[in-house]
Amino acid sequence: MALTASLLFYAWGGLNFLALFLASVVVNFVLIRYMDRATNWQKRIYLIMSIVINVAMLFYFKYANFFVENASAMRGYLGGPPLTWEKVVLPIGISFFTFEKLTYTIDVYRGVNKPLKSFWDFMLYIMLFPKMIAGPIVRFHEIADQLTDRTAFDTIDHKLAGLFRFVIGLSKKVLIANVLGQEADKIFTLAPTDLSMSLAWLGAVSYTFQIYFDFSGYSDMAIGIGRMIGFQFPENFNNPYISRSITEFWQRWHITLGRWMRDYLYIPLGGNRVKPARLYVNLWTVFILSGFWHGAAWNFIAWGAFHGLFLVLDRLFLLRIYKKIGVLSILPTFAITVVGWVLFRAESLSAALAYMKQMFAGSWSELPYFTIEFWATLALATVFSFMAALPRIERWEIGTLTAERFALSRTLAQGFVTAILLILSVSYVIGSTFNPFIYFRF
Amino acid sequence: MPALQAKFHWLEEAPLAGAYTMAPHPELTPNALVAGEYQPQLEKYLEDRVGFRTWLIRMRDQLSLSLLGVARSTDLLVGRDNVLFQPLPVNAYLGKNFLGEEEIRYRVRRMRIVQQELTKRGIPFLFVMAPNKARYQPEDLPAYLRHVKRGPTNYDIFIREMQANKINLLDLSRLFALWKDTTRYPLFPRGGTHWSGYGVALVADTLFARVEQVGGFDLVNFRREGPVKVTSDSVQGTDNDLSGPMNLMFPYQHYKMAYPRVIFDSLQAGQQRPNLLISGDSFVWGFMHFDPYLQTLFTPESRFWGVDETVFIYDTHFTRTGEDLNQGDFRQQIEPRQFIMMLVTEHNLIYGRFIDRLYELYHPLTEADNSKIKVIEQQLMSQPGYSDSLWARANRENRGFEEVLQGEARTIYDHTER
Repeated sequence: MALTASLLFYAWGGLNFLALFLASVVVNFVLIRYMDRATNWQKRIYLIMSIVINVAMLFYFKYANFFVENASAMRGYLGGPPLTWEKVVLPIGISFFTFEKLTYTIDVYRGVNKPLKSFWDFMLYIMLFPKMIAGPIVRFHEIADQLTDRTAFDTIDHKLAGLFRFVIGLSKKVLIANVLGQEADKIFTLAPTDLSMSLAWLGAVSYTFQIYFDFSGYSDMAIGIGRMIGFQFPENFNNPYISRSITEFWQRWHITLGRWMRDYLYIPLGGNRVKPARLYVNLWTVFILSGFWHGAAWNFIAWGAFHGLFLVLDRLFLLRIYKKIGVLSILPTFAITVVGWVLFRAESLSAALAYMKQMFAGSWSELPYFTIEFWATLALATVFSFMAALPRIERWEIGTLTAERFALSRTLAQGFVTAILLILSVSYVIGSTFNPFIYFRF
Repeated sequence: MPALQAKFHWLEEAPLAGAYTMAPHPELTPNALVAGEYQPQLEKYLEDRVGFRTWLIRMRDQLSLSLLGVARSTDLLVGRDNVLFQPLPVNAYLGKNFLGEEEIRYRVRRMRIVQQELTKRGIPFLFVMAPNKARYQPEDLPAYLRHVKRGPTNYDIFIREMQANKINLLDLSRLFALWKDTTRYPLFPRGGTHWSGYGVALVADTLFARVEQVGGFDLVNFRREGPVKVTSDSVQGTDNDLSGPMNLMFPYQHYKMAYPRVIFDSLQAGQQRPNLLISGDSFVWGFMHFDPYLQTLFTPESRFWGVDETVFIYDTHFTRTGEDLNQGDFRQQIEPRQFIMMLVTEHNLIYGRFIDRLYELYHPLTEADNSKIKVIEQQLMSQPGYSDSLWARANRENRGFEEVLQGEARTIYDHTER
C-alpha cells in the first residue's frame, strides 16, 4: 500500500522520470546483492560502481547546467562564442533519494545491515513518499527493520501523534512561512538602491524564519505522515535558532543531512583524528560540498563555505568566547545565520553581495508599511523559534512532539488544537489561490 | 468530508462574490500526462471545487479582517472603521502616479485643441471630474496612509490647467467636498469605491443641467419624488462593490445608504434625446445602475467607451457592442455625436488615449511629420546603449523592437513639435 502510494506520488509529479528512476533503483538493488555476496576487492568494485552510478546521475541532472554555464562564461571571457546546449531538467527528489541509495550501499558494505531480500522493500525505502522530496534523509540502518515489520508503531496513539505532527508542520508552512515569505520575496527583489539597511535586515530576518518554518514544516509533515503509516523517521530540526554556535546550529538544523555528511563524508576523510590543519580543511570541504548539494550555483557554494568558515573559527576561538557569554551567544550565532541565509536566498552570488552591502553599509531609514499580519507573524515566528532557549519549554516541546502514549485529556486537548490548526491551514491554502478582482477591466 | 461534499453537495454553499474564473476540467492525453501538464491542471480543477471551499474562504477572510484588519481580496485597503478603499485612487490622492506638470500641460493643450475642433463641428465637449473616495474622506484612510506626505497630484494640476485653457469642466470632486458637511446621507459607501446611489442622484441634477447648458439642449425632465429608501442591510448597485468580494462569514456593516426615487417624465415638445458619447471609467455606471439616467435621457445610439476602449451601450448589464475602435472609420464614430463627455476619476487621468485619438483625427501626421520622426529614430539609435535599453523594453512589454522605437520617436516628436 505504502509502495503503491509512493509510486503514484512520484508518477504524479514526475512521470517522465519514473522509468529512469526505477531503472536506477533496479541497478542499485542488483549491484548491492552482488556486493553482499562478493568478497574483498570484488566487494569494493561493486561499492565503487554503485557510488559512481548514483553520483554521476546526481551530477548530470543537478549540476550539468551549472558546469556548462560556467564553461560557457569562461569561454566568453576568453573571447570565444558562448556554448549552446539544451538545459537538463532536474528530476524531483534526486538530491534526497541519491543520498539514500548511497547510505544503503555504504551501510551494507560496512556490514551495518544486511541487504534487503525483497526488491519491493528496497524500493519502498527509496521511494517512501513522505520523505522523498524534501527529507528527512533517512539512513538505511535507521529504518531497515521498519521496512519489513511496522507492527510496533502501528498503533492508534502513533497515528494520532502523526496527525498532530502533520498539522503542526502544515501550519508552520502555511500560517507562518508563507506569510513571511511573501514579504521576504518582495524585499529580495528590490534593487539594492531601494534597499535601506533596516529593510535589508528585515528581509533577511524574515527569510531566516521563513526557511526554518518552511523546511521544518515539511519535515514535520513527513514525520507525521510517516507515523500515521507506521514509520518512525528521524528528527530533522531541533530549535536551530537557539544554538550557541554554528557548530551547535548544525546539530540542530537539517540534522539528517548533518549526520549523513558526518558518516559518509567527514569521517571517511579522517574525521577528528587528523592534525588540526587537515581537520579544518576537511570541515570546510564538507561544508562547501554541503552547500553545493543544496543548489547548483555559486551562492550555495559560498553559503557552505561561509558556514564551514565559522565551524573552523568555532574550533579556533569562537567557542571559548561563546562559553564566556553563555546564553547571550545565541545572538551572534543567530546574526551569523541570518547573514548566511542571504547567500542562500539571493538569486546569485553578486546579488547576495550587493544585498549584504546594504545590510552593513546601507543608509538607515524608516521602514515602509507592512501589514499587522506580517508583524504578528514575525513576532510569532520569533517566539516559537526562541522559546526553547528556556530548558523547561524545550523539554515540554520534545515531550509533546515525540509522545507515544496519550491520556484522554491530552488526546482531547491535542485533538482540539489539531482541528483548529487544520481548519485554519486548509482555509489559508484554499484561500491563497482565490483572489477575486473587483472589476475585470476598470 | 470535503470530497463527499464536493460530490453530493449535501450542504448548500453560497457562491463567492467578485470576478474570478474556475479552472476548466483538463483534457487527459498521454502527452499532457507525461509532460506533467495534466497534473497541475487537474489539481487546480479539484481545488476550485473542493467541498466547503466557500466556507473556508469566508472563514479565512473574516479572520483576516476581524483579527488583523487585512482584506484578502485583490486591491483592497481597510481603513478606519472598516471603510474600504482601492489602492489606485488612494495612490492618486497621495500623488504617487503624478504625471508631471509638463506632461499634464501637454495633454490639456491637446484637449483644448480637441475641444475647439469639436466645437467647430457643432459637437460640445465636457470634461467631468468624478470624485475620489480617498480625497473625499482621507480621515478614514488606513492609519499608515493618513500620515504619508502627499506630493502634487494629477487632479490639482489637471484642474488648474483645464481652467486656464478654458476647457468645459465640471469638477464633481470639488462639489462633493462642498456637500460633505451638509449631506444627509453618505455620498460614498463604506464598502464601495464609487459614488453612492444618493451621491449619483444629487450629482445627476448638476451634471445634466450642465449638459443642457453646454449643449444647448432641453433634456427629458426628471425629479426625485417620495420618501427616500434608507437601508444598511440591502445596499444597491455599486454600494457594496468592495465589500461584496471580501466574501466574509458575517455581513459587512454598511453605512445607512439612501436611495431616492427618481421619476422621469416622457419626452416633451422641444426636448430631445441627444446622441451622447462618454469616454470614461466605472463611475459612469452609476448613471445606469441606480436609475436609468443615460438610458432615458439619450438616444439608443449613444455609447460609453471605457478607458480601455471597450464599447458599451447604456444598460445595466454591461452589454458590449464588440466594436473595435481601431477598425473602420473613426470619424464616423465621432461626428454623428451630439455631445461628447469625458468622465473619469483622478486615478484614471493617466489615460490619454481618447484625446490622442481625437487629436490625431483632426491633426493627422503629414509626410513632413513622418520624415521628422524618422530623423528622431535615427538620433535615438545613434545614442550609445540606447538600442540595448529599447530591446530590453521590447522584451519586457512583449512588443516588436521597431514598434517600440517608433513609439518612442513619435512621443518625443509629439511633445516637442506638435
